[in-house]
Amino acid sequence: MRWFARRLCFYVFAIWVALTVNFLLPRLMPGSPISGLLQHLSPAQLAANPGIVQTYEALLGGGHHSIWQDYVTYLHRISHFNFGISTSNYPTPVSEVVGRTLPYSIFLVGVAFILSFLIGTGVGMVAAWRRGGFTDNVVVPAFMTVSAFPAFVLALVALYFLGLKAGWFPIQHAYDSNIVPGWNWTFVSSAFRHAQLPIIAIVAAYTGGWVLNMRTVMINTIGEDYVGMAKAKGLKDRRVMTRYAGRNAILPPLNGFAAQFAGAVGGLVFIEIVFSYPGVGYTLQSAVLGNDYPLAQAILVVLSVCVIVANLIMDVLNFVLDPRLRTS
Amino acid sequence: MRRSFRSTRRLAAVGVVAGLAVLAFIGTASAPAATHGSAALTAAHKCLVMEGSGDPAFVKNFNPYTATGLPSGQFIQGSFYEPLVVVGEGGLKPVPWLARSWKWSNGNKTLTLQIAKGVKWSDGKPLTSLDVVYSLTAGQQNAAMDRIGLTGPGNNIQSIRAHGPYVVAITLKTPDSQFIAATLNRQFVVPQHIWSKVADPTTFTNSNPVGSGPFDVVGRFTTQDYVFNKNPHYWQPGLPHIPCLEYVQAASNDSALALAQSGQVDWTHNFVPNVAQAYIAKDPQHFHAFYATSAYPISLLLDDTQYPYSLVAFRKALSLAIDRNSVSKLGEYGYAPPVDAIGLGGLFPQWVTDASVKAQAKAMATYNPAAAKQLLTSNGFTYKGSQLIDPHGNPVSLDIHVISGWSDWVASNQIITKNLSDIGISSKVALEPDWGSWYPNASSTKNPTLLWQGGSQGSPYGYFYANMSSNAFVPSGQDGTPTGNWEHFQDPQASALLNQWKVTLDPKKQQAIATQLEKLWLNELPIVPLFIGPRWSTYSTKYFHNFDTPKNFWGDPIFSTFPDNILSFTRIEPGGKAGA
Amino acid sequence: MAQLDPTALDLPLAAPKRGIRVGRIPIPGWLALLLRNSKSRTGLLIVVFMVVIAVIAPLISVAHPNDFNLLATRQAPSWHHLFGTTDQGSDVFSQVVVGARRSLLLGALAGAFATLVAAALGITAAYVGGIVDEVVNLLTNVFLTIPAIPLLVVASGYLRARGMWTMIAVIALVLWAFEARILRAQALTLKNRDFILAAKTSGEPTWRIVFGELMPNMISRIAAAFVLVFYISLLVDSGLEFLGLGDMSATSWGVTIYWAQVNSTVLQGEWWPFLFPSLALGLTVLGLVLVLAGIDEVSNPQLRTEHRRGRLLRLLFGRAAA
Repeated sequence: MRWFARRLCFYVFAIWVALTVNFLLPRLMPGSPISGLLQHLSPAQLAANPGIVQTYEALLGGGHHSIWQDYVTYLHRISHFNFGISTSNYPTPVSEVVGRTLPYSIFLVGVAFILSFLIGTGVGMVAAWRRGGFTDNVVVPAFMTVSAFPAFVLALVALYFLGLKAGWFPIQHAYDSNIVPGWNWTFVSSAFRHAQLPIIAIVAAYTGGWVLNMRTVMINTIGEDYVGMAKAKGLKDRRVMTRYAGRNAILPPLNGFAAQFAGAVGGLVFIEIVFSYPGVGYTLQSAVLGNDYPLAQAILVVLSVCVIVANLIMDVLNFVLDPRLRTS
Repeated sequence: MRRSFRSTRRLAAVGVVAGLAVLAFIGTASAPAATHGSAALTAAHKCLVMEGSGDPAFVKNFNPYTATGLPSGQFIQGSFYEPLVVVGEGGLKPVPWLARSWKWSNGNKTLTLQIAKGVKWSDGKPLTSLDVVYSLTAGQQNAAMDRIGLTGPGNNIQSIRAHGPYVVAITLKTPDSQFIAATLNRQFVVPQHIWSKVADPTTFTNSNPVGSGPFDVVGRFTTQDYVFNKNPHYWQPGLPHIPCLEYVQAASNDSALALAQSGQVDWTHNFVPNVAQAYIAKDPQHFHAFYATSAYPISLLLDDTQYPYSLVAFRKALSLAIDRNSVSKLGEYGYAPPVDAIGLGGLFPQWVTDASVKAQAKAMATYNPAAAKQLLTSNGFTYKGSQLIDPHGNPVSLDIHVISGWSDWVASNQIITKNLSDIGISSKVALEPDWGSWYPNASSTKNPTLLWQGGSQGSPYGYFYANMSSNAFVPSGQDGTPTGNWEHFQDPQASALLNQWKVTLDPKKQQAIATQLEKLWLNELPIVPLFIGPRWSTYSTKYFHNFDTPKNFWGDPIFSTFPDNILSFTRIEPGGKAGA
Repeated sequence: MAQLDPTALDLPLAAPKRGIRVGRIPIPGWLALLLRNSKSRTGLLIVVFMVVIAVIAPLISVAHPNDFNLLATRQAPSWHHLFGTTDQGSDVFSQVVVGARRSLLLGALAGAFATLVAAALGITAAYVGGIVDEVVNLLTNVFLTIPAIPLLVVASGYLRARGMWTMIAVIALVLWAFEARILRAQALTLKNRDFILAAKTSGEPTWRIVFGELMPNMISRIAAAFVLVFYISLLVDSGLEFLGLGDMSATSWGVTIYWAQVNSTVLQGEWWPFLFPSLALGLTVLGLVLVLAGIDEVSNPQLRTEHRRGRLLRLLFGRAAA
């Protein structure tokens, strides 16, 4: 139990640090935060967002107060989930923008990562089991080569050949333009259709990592006694591979999966940009380029919280599953 | 190792089941994707579909005063809110709109408007002269709502009154020949019963707009798409022809072009480099580009108060030294035709009538480096080797600043700087990373730059006013944006002529003044006009026809330009038409 | 971006390889080892090739990368323009070879700085233990909760001048943490080895044990970590440039791809300004991945040879609770 309490303390501390980094980032750059931010803006942007100076002042303290006062105000506001107004989506509250975009990213990452994980561990397992075989010699290097390319290159290639040339997939957005989001079949199927191309790109970009990882772990596992024993017992080769070696080897990648999953929710910015997929990464980039600092800050905080929550879930799972932690 | 055997099995099982479920789902969802793709596209074309480029997620803001830069505000003026009169770009004949007719009286100081009868707001209330008076004088409620300069320093308006439900009288302090084309033209009419109750019109988002225009029903609105449906009770019978306007998000240049290429979008105002190959060639029967050249010129701007840019001979030499044909052909893909030294050839050719002025303007803009050199040396400039030395003995340099992403302007400047180097000016293109680092120094001409003109569209009065009038003058070092006097130039004689023009309603007299101003312009050459900045429009006649075209021209072909856009919205007709 | 991600490539621990000599051939032992492994041999070849290209770039580029030639715009690859030309007639081949300099240098330096910080902090923490270890561990774990890519996007968004050194500093600052965690874990397994304990009992000062004993024995791990961060930096940097968050007036692979994208070249059928820098980038990353795989195989022979038991396994699985 003490272990668990310690973890909780750590997470609270981590969130506090993330918030503080967020608070300090614009201030660490040369010049006063507000004039620095306004300098990014074009006259047209200033004209289009009448309340922008006040918003920044509220957000950054406007230099009227000491940095400590600002800091306390900032923490207070965030603790009430008040992230302010998104200047590029004026006058939508930041929380609403994040709430709208987050589900898309989680959906995209969820589906794509599970697929990529399944394919990757499967291929890695087979490759390790049949060293020097076709999978090991051809499929693994192929995945490695594909994954060596930046995600946005793969995404653009997929967009061009599969989306534009072949016309098999919609090339942008999360759903058809003429649909209003809602829990109905039309919207859900449209959302799936629009997610396909990004998912293909993500799978292409990320599977290589899982293949290499699983292969390494699997090779190590094959050396274990019980695998040799199972083989000696004369069990079917396939059965030994999946039931004995594979099942155990999958644990470390699975742990890594949880950690990566949360990080990737915001890390897919490159894929989301290419497909104009209205997820968190895409919103973050447009917030940064559009000088919407309240929104950018809020997204960073929310993503940090996502990572922490994912870690927490893994901790709980480990706690439940691992007797040693329970007794200590 | 063994400790986790059981847990692993559980986890793995969960993972496999989840994965299979996902696979199955994608399987079922992907089957219709392939077959329904094209059907969905056709169905989407009930509405006239438009797009911008690089739009953020859409937010409902239909405030016609503040939202025009946002995706949701692209054509709120023109669809919901209507003009009184439409003077299409280039000083076309005024088209009556909510004001069905008008008359000058009281020594050309009072303009009496007859307002259309039977017009209803979308909430059912009637639109009357009171709404018109309210809209014209809304600047008194909040300066952000001022469309006619009521709150500005040069306010020329005496009074605005309603006479009965359908007559409005506007009385000016002094006659103003530009009033209809340059001022009234910009006004749209909003309902008094809504807007007079708005506490702060600058933050009001008007999410349930009440309008009178041809499309005044908000249909669908999502973060990536919205639809304005046709006004079922529109006061002009039979209009509009099309059932709805739709605006879709195109988050990048690439997605914008891809949408246009696939025919999913009917009308864009994005600049498409190499449009013949990138767009038209995809469906030559239906895909068209109209790069309207009825526009003011893009010019090379210098701070005319700085030596040696202050020397008229120097500016004239620049004009002779630049090979405008090459700039147009190579730098601007041939879309932007070169102009003469006055620069009105695109928008107001009819205002340059004097044969000698025409000839001189042409000669001054004809590429002739030898003549440029000679002009310089006969005005005290010398050469040290190939380097040009000004009469004060300093080498002449002129670096042109431009945003690195504006590829066509960068290319144009490459040619220009090479031309300038040919006559001994040390000149190179200075690339700026973004708008913020370029614009402040460009708008104050601290850095030489190419820039556009901000004059009004009714007559060339605004062009001469911005560049030559003492009333528009902006001192050196200051931002020229408010008046467009980027080059910090003024001329007393021109100011007097402009004041005269302002109060002259007689077209013949106006023409005579214009000719005098043109002569002055050629004497002084405050700026170096180079080429027309075209008004980009690419459109598809796959599902609609009767767009604004060169043959069928009624104004600016860009759908966000008010009031010209309302002509397009009411004139475009459903049904595809090949080769139109 | 870093799709071959740190967690996916968490390096297995290996006993230090000491004093390996390869006959009389006067090449360093580590290099000989890597060259014997087919993966790292291929990888090294690719990387060395790229580095050589970058070094001799001024000699082989046919034009200044940003030179304009308006009479030769958007030309397909030919003998005259090996990789074709851009919208403004710049020679893509020159852009790619000259761009290699900035891309490789930026990636390598960012990787080097991150590795330096990570090695110094991680190894010291592991060896000293106690409160120092607690603090360093806390610091790294906290850094790891802020997702790297979004943090980079935001941080570079705040910057007004995005020069080379700034970008190096930003990338190194964001990437050091996960490296520090790997190196710390590996140092922990080493600190109770005989030779370390011996040095300790003989009264060697801490810094000498860390830098004189621990580090040299972990050099293969540090090198592997460096290679890892090197290519992650490459991918991250090109990604930021692709988003328009780099130095857009510089010449690098990411910048060339960015302009190709901005000018919609691929949609117009001009694939070359997009393809060639992408290939260069992918090839370099592949080379580095292969080198890394080679290092892995060399230091963890199990990955090469079948049926040999490894003690590394338990250590690897022990990580699960972290």
